[in-house]
Amino acid sequence: MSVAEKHARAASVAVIGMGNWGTTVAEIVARSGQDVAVYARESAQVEELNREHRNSRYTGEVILSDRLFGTHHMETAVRGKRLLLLCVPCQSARAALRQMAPVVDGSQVIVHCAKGIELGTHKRVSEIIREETMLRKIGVLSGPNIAPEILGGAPAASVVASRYEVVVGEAQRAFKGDQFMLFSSTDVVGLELCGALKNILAIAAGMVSEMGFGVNTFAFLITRGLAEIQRLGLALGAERDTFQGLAGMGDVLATCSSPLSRNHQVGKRLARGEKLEDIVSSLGMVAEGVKTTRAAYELSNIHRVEMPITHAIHHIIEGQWTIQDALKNLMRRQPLNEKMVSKSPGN
Amino acid sequence: MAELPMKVDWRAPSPQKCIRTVVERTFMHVLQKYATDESREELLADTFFHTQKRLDADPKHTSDAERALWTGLRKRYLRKDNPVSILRDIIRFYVEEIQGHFNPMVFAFSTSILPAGMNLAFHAWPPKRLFSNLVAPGGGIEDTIKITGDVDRVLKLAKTATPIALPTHLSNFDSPVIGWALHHMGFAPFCYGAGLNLFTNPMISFFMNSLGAYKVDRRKKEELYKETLKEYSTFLLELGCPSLFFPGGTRSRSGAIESRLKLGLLGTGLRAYIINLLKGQPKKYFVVPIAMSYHTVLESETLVDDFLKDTGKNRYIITDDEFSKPSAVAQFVANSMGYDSRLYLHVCEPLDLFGNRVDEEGNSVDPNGNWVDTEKYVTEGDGNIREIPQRDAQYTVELGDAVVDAYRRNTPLLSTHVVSFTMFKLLRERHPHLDIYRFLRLEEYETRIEKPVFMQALEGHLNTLRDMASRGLCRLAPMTATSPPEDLLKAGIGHLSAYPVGSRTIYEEDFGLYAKNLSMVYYYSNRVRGHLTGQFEVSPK
Repeated sequence: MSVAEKHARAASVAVIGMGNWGTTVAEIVARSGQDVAVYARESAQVEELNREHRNSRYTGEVILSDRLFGTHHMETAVRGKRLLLLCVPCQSARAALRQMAPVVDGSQVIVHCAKGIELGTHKRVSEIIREETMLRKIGVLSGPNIAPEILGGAPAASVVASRYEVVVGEAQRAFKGDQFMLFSSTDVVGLELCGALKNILAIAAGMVSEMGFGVNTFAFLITRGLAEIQRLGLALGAERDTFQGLAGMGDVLATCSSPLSRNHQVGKRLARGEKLEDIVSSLGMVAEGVKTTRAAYELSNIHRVEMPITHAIHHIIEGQWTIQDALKNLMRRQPLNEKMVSKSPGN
Repeated sequence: MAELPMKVDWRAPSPQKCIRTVVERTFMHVLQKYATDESREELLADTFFHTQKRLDADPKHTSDAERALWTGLRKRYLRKDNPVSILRDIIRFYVEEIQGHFNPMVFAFSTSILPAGMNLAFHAWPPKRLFSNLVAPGGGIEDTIKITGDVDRVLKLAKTATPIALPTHLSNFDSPVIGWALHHMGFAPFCYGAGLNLFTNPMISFFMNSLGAYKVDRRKKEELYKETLKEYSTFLLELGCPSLFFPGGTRSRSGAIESRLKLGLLGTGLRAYIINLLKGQPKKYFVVPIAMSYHTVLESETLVDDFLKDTGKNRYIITDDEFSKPSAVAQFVANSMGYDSRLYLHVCEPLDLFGNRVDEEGNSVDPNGNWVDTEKYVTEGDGNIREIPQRDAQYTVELGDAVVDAYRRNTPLLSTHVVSFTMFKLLRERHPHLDIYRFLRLEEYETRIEKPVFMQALEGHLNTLRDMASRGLCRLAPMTATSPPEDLLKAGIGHLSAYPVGSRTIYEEDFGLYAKNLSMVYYYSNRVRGHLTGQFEVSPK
């Protein structure tokens, strides 16, 4: 067993997933003074991390902490760890959890950092964890966290939500440091939905930016977009206040404003007329917003919640509308009373 | 009828020793939880406040002895006597009231005559001839109460782990029905908390004491009583006493399947598990949800009336419903049982205290079949097992979610439910602008639905339910699963007319269907509403 493997085995925190955000999460925890076992499927990635303290595919030339110990053995990464941080894309969560299932135990705490809704099932990741493993102490971490900014040392904050106080405690301890603040919540549903649905608005923001519209349009999009994702959230059991907080408004602002956001890039390139499949394949990383848009569209129909912006983005992504069609449809809608957050009229 | 094959393998201390032990434990637990003088003072104030409210609201159900006791305690409290000694005396009073008169030998004797005993009880009410149709034609009680589920597996489990049975709750008949059914399946006696009102019903009280029932006074809202009750249940479970709770807390007022459970007593299983681990005497436990359905429910009119008036909070204990009227009971039994009716009782898949499945060997397994070491759930980062109330309460919430899911998948859906839902939905679509209260007061002539329209809708609902059943999302009684819609309609109308006699809740006339009693239609439709609309929680608003 290599030295790295030994350290990975002995660490008390594990990060599963070595993508952009997974690497960043691992780095934050390491900077707070803890050894972190980092799991990746690709052995080349693991070797680069252990040898050079880099993850060039996702975080470029950033030199990462020497307290990160990579492994591509799930058991080494996961078994016996006090805290598990699941940082894989939402659509890959189920497969990863099935791999984890035989080597986890009931004493462990798991906090996932995914922002998405599973296609087909419409499940949130906390539900998938429940469906695939024995784990019960489950939490979610979400908020305005543009990874390159955090890696660059900029102060940031997010929220950890769980029904278990011990989960919040473990997460806050792991992330304790001078750079990153972790607030707490009990609204797991709300946090997961905020994190997932804001990606739809990020795609829309990319389009707005590419079309040269200014801050008025941007403000219009963010405000009404947040209203409609809150509508869906409430229909699915979320708490209203969550949407006004870091994981709601905070993340919407960050993601929609930042050209670094992958979903923002998807929107820009769609507005330029590029095909979706070309965009996705060239991105090199997952843009959750595309799949989330489809899931949100389906959910809004099932629960009869008005989500005009989401529907417009969906039709654009599916190639059914141009952006001009979408704009026309949106601007010709009958404006509602701004305070209306209930379901569609007649429901 | 099955003999009692299982030895009662838990040692029940004498009743007096039970009382002493539970009083001491509750007392110590309360002192620990309410560790300051101020918090104990608040606890006492809460106790006296609720007690006085109860005594004022319901004087006739409080004995002179109890009233005198509380007067004396209150005097001591106002005199500022030592609050700790007052707490102990109140706890003692509670425990003595709660304590059942359970005795395994008495139970074995009682249950050997229970089926005939049930007949005898009913025959005790004149006129006897009304009860000649008590059981299904040509059959006995075993034919009337239809038990399904993997009973053998659960029985096998009960040899090595303490079972906690969690039935749904529709009627006061549930207690004797469940008691008989568990005995018939071959289980050892269960202890359970039965409402005080059941002990005043002469027909049922005989069985309550024999079936291991301890008394729960649901009028008592004070925290101290709840702590005492939980401690009593924990104590019994620590001993390994099979226990039964109705996690819905009370009979379903709306007729819908339970969606929100009362988790206080359910959590005592986990507490008993942890305490036994800490004592170095680990015991296994498992939970078995039991989903029940009746074609018609004796108390349905009172219950749904209460639900619709939204006075449930004030009338949490209903003592003046149909169940308290012997002639109503007799009529219901005679007509329901005589109609080839069955009570459907499904024994669901067993779960552990954390909501995991339990295999035949009593091992907990995760959804992918991996073995689960349940001790780990209560082991913290330092490797020590400990009680952590917030964590444990959440575990019980998760267990509750798993139980609700089991109820939804396994409550047998019957003709009365589907026919009533079809009627209700069609009428509601025709009157969408009426609120529910105005809607339920529609005149009979306004409720006509043309037969072809009704049949088309009924067939659609049946197809949906049958598809769901094939995917394990619901359970249909045999007739609901296989009958042509016309036969199901006839059966549903027939059952609905069985009680009250001649009620014509739904009837067919002149090629149309009519509803004479929309409240009843509403009540029975709620059993299947969640499956067909996604809205399992029912609200009149």
